[in-house]
Amino acid sequence: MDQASKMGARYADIRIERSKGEGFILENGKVEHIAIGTDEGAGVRALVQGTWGFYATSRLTTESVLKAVELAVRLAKATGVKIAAPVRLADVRVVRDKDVVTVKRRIEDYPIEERVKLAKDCDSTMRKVSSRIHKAFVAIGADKLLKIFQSTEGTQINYNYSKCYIRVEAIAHAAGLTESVSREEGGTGGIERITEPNVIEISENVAKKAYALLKAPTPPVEKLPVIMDQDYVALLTHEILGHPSEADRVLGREAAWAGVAWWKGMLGQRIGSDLLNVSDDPRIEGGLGYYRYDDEGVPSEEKVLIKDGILTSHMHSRETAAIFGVKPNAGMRASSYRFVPLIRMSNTFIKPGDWTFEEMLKDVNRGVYVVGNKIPSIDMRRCNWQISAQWAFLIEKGELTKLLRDVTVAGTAPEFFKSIDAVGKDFQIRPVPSCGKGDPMQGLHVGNGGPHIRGVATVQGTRGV
Amino acid sequence: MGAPTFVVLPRYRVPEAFDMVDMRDVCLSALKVGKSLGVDEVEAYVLDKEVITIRIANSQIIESKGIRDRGLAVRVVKGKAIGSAATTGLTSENLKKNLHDAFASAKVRGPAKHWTSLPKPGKLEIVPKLWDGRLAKLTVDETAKIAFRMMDSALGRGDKIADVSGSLNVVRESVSLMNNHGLDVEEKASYILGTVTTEAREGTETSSGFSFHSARTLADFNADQVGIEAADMALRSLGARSANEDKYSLILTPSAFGEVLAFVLSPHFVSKSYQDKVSCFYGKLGRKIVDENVTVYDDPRVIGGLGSKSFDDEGVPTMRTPLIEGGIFKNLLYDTFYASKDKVQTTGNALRFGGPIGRSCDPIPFPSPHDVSVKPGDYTVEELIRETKRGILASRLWYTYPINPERGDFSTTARSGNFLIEKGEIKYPVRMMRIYDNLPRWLNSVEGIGKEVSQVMPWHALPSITPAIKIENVKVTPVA
Repeated sequence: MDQASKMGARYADIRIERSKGEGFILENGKVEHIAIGTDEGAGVRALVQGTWGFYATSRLTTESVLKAVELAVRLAKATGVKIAAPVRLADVRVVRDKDVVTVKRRIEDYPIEERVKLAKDCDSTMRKVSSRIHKAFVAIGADKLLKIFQSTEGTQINYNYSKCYIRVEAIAHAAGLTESVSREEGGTGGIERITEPNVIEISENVAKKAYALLKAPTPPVEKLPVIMDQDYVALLTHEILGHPSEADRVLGREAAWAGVAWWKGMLGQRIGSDLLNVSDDPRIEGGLGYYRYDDEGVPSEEKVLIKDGILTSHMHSRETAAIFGVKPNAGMRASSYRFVPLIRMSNTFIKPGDWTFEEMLKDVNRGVYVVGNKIPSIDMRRCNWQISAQWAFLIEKGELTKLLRDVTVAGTAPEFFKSIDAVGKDFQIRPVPSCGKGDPMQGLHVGNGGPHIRGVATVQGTRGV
Repeated sequence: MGAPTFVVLPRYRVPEAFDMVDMRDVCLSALKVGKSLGVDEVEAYVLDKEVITIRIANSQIIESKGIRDRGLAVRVVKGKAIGSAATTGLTSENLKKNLHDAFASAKVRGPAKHWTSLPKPGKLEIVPKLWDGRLAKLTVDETAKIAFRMMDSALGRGDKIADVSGSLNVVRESVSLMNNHGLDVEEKASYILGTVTTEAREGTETSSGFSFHSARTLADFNADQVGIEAADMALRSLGARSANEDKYSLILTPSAFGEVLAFVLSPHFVSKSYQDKVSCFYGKLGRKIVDENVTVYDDPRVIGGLGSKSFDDEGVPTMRTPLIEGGIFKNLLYDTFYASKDKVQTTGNALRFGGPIGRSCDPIPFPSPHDVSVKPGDYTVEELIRETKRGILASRLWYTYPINPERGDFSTTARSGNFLIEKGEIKYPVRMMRIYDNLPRWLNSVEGIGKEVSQVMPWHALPSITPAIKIENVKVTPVA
């Protein structure tokens, strides 16, 4: 950091990391692939002449890191010559702290052999359900990360993170029809993130559902009341509420690839019913988006994005906070030392209401209950969406009647969010293992979720043509 | 059938060292440690890669960044049990630890009964022009100047260009790969990728434009063209109306069809998907699956291609592999692992894809296309339009995903450069549309294929070389 200041950086920070990941994929009872990865390196960010330069190296030697500092400064200087709007950083307090994930049971206390055994139990449970389950997949990953953040302002944070996750998937096939159902569990913490959920029971339910879908009809094409479960809400929140809340996207800085934000310029305006409350909170322990300090060293806090249906704030970096004239709220993360931090979701969710699922159901004369998520299709403003579900039930006269396969739900953001008339109390944060943003693209684990919600949207099948 | 064997062992020497680390020494040390562990087979793969990215947003440079990544990936085999590990810490201590990790993971994995062998040395024919000395020596200042040219050329198209964003990526990499069968190959690669997205504004109307250009040499890259094309698409798209929900003849430009090739078509030809029965062409190998005017290759040997390389990521010489020839399903894409499952030879398609382009140091290679290449047809784009009674020209797709891969269903959004065609003429620009369709139906409804091909590549996806294509009876739904 001293070197960066000497070379003319008004501000600089460095993230030094050392990590280890172990993962495998089990298919029909056999480990298909297994790998262990160790990674180390440093990423240096320098603000020079009003613009950012960044350089990362996977060599943790003094020489390589000083070279990275030099290149970060040179990169900034090379492009800072024509800056019309120099970067300003909102002030934050200097912090010296550590950020350690709470672990009940360490990863190394449940060695990879044990994890393979757990995966095999999940696999055999799925394949026992029916001979129609022609493929069972189980993937388990366990990652540990040590990180140091330091800035020229004097902030230093030492991080010690770990996380575990499992994915189970059953593919059923009969008479030309293939149906798959999957589920993820996991989060930050120790091995308890995959052993505390009853993954055997989850595997059985996944396989039973895939098998049952082989005999299920497709849905009607109709605009109907729709009840969404926590997993469906997780993806809807991710795509239509979370991504548009990123202030860099609101400012048009992701227009080249990831798109823009449908509610640009609408702060203070109603965008949903009174029942819609949305927050992003990195402090939720166990969520895949957990952190106490972001990658700018800013202490994390709950970001209230939508309150009683009114758009109240966005997720910010120190730079965008200065542009919007607000306090930074710790929205910056990078997927590793290799990448410059970007404004990312942490744990982003619809807040719970006071309805039970049964109460929601009772009011619906004809509607659909959608469970789990598959594939999103989103316009570049993230306003018009279409998200497929893993399965659904037809609701008739307040009861779940028929299982439905190949269901997708489509809507337009303001119209759908204003139609929300019931929000459940059964809140969950679900693991979302792959969120992409940036160029080069950075994949990141986040948490998304909420309770069951009810609104009005268009239900249709997922078959092409 | 045994493992693939080839004739000669060439050693392709890198003409000028890109890295201070002696990559061959790292590989040799890894093989030595592997041998000391008593494994049957060992493979060492060392990658040194630098990516310089200049990002443009709000019509200015917002980020200039670089990554220098060096790593070692190893695979070991003992009693047909395959283990793998990767590390970026290239010290001798880490190297030993990495081999031990791989060996430990092999023990956990247990034997893969189908496994034959890591590749044996083969006859390597070098693809020319993979590496450009000028691109390799491009300084940070020179890189920035190219990014400024991309941006300024877009802004220079007039005051209606309200916003320019995009990126310039310059990638240089060097790979060294050895195994204990004597396979010993090295290669260097350089790439330059430029993309610009523009917004045009007139009163309250806005529109977007897009362009992507790439090259393996600096001389083949035209920065001005990227900006100009993106700006002109946005300007032509001003005054857009909503298309009626209906079925149209859909003409996809190479950029738009490249999305379909990368995200929808390619996975169906990967051996792993076929073995898992999640290919919509499962059980149809050797049979006619689509219109006879459709021919698709995987071609890693095109000079200047983004996916071009002399050998794949386990050292097997690359080859041009027909996937569909005259509508007939010809081949699947294999690496050695999945080839041994089907008792066939690898097609040299082991990939460790690394963003934004090129290789990575992933511990396990996976079968994938290098550069999907669609055989051009006889039409100019103008002729495709002229022969269209009622259609839509779409220039950029987005969020293209398979929904039910075993059936070939997919959804996508036509994001930029959409125009309504009536009686052979472009009538007016149209707004974003959603398309929900089926791959086999599309490839059985090809009305015409363009004669000019372009190298395209969607965001964080595999590249393809394709002409424009015209598909009949595509239902579109306006989304804005």
